[in-house]
Amino acid sequence: MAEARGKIDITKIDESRLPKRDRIEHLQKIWYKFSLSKVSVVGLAIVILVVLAAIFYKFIVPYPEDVGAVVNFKAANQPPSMAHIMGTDPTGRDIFSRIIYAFRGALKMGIGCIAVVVPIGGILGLISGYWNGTWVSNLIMRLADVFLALPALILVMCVSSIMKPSLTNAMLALCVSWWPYYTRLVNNIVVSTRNEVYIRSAEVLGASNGHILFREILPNTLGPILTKMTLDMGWAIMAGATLSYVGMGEQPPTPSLGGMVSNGVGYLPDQWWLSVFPAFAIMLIVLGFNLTGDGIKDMLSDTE
Amino acid sequence: MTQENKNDFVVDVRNLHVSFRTFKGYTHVLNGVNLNVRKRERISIVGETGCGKTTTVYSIAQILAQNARIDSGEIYFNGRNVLTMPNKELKALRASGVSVIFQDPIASLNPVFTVGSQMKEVIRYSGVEGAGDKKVQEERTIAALKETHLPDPERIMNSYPFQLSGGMRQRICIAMSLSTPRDLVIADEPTTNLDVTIQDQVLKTLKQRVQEKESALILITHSLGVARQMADRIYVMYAGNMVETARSGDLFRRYCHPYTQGLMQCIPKLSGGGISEGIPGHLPNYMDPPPGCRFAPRCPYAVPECRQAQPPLYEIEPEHYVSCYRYRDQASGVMGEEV
Amino acid sequence: MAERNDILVVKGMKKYFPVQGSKDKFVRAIDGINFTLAQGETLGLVGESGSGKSTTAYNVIGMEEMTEGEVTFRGQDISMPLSKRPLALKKEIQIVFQDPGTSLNPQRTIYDILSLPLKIHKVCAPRDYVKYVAALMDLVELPYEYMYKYPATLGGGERQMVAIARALATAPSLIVLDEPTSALDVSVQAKIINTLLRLQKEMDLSYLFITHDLSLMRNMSDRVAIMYLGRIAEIAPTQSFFQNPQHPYTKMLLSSIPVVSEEEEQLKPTQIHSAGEIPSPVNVPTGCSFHTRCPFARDICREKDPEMVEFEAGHTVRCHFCQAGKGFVLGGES
Repeated sequence: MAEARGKIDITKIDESRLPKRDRIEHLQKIWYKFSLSKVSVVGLAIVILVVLAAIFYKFIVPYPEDVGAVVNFKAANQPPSMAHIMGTDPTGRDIFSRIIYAFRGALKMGIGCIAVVVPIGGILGLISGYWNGTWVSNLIMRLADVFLALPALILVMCVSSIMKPSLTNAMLALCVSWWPYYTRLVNNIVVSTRNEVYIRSAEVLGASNGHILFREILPNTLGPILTKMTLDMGWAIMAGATLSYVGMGEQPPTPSLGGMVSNGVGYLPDQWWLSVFPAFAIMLIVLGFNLTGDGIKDMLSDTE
Repeated sequence: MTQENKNDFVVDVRNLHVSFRTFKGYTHVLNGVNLNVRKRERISIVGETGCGKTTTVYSIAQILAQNARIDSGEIYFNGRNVLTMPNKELKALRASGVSVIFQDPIASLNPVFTVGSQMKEVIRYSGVEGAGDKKVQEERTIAALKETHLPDPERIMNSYPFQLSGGMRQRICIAMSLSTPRDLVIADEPTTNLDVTIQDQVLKTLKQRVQEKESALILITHSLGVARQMADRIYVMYAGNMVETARSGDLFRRYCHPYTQGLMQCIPKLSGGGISEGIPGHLPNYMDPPPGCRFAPRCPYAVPECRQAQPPLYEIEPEHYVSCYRYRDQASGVMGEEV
Repeated sequence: MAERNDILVVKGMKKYFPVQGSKDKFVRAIDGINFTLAQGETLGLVGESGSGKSTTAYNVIGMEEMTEGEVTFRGQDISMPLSKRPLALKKEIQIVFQDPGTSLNPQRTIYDILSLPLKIHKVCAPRDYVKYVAALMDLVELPYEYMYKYPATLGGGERQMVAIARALATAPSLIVLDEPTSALDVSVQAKIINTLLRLQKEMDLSYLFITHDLSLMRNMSDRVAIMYLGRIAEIAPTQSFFQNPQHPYTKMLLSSIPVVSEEEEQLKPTQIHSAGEIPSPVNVPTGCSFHTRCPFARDICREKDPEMVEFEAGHTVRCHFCQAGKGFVLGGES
């Protein structure tokens, strides 16, 4: 009896009857949930258009040479027309072309920051959340508090004024003050997931810390991270624009959205197109990311 | 029941079909529900998770989710069709005609306001005499709490929901929904989360309060035992249909529908004797429900006819209706085909 | 009781949780309980929420570290928490939780969930995982199509079957069932209970069944223990328990159960009605902890904690008025 107890016979299993993994339906369902809100579909469309425009700007913009230090006084300060749909600036460059090119800097800013901040902040959050209450976790969280207390933009300005102002330096400075947000987010999720019954079940089975951390807990943090990432893209682009507005981001002659707004402000209200169109571009891109982020949030919510 | 017209009923639901939009298409949940409640009558809808009992009562109170669609049918509340009611009347209906007690009192009470302020709010919008007067609100609140046997009403009024036990919270919900006169109280599994001794107390209170206030009651439950204890008449629901309805005593003496029989055999009895293997199979997929009787795929007695057309509700004794062809020969009438 | 082949012995188990903000106050979740569980037996641990029944289960399984007492499994001391238990022991004692919605990770497929114990305990070669998972699914009669589905797409009963299959994967000898059917419909419950009974026979399993449902225990367990405020109020073989309930609390519980037939109505004690609520385990009443709700309470009940009295063979009651052989006699304090 004792020998027979619990023996499970696998010889009778007919492997040909076992199903195969189907991932497509899962994706379809995710897309359905996202598409329930039409606004987030619009947001995603904006994001895709902006990204495509930034990648293929050479084929889209009417005056690719205008993105550099070009002077063409004959065409200076023209209001929007068929030739220059958003007008030209005081040195005769096509504003539409420059805006499209400036998307590159804006996206670089966003993606660059996210790429640095998410892994660092995320891993620290995982560690501090899993070993919640130990000195390691306390150290990480207090460190995060210290960095959170630094005002981001002021820090960026300090860094930029010490070093040479550039897109890279601005990004670096932003990252320093930004990772704690992800640490906190992931820490919160891990601390709450840690007490879930399914984690208890895995422990009762005897699963290792590594398994629990990376296979059971980590997948649960990906959704909220993705949502925050998308929303933060908008925020980072906004921060980038602010920095270039005060001259601490992308340096001329490379066009930047903030810089263009800043340059055009002096010409308001007569030559309104100089700053209104870049400002509108900033709004559009940030709006796009925020709407997409909302859609992702809905998509990942459990309500059927 | 044949002589009665719709004005005798607080609620009269006729042939109600409701579906929900989902990502794959429409789920046809309610499949021609007939239900009525007389004034001061207590009825119970018994069924398992997903059978549509909540959808039925939410349709009556008009608090269905956004993706719900009422395909056909009529719902009369005090003789007025709620489906064609203007919004203003609907609001009045919700504020003073129907009240709903939900399963989870912690979710239906706002955690950041005291119990007292929430109860006063209900009275304020109920439209009773002097509802705007703070003193009237206070008095009525205290009276309502006292009537539900809650000790120390003044202290409870100043407490926040989380400071009270589950049983007390559910009593507060009962007190709240009966603090002003109501024609109908809907209780959606009010004691599912409570311990059995507390459930007993809460159910007794609910029954007593509904009787005192002369309200009608629709009690949703998954427990035939609770229904037996509480209701004058019981509706057994399966997959969007009322499969059997009878006076409480009649139903437990003679349960007829194969589903009711299956359910009864699954219930663990205090007298022992083991429990059956359960009812084989699943609830049908509402996306593509089987034609005919929705229980046919799980029914041990199913004949080809069952798979073709939905059986009507045959009347086999006064007020005892069964939606099953096996009782056609014994039937004295069919619901909905009266003179 | 010498012939009993006890695999689990719990002696004087206590679990106190500190109350935040005050040093000398404790939540007395379990306050000294003793019971045994034989090979192939089902013991029903019944109580209201706050009675300490789940905490007892968690202490047996090692999810919490007990404050005092001793638990032995097949003669081996297992009073330590899970992290200190050897892997081989984890294989022997498994648990099925109440809500299969939370005990299965929503991000992992049924295959992932069922293959985890196989990986941890190296039950079979990796290439046989799929077959083994399929065999486990057969055991609980789940169709193979579910293998790569996520728990959210399954019904509650099916999810619980997955949880049961997971507990069986390591071929344990003791399974703690923490209200495994209380979140499910009766027709689903019937299926699960029958599956559990079948598996118990096939695999010679012992069940520690935590529940609040006495009617279910009537039909499922060999012995029943009633818990109240961290103590066992009455423990007896099922037959004796339902025929001759002794403790006033047991009677109160039985009288509160909604039943579906006259026959059952006859079995319900009539002289007692449910009243009051279970007090907070921080302020356990002095004397007999049930005296605040007991209609028969006398002065002695408020002052002196009753001893366990053996009323019949294997049927013990914690009440001042219960006498050996005679049962509940009021005024027995002379």
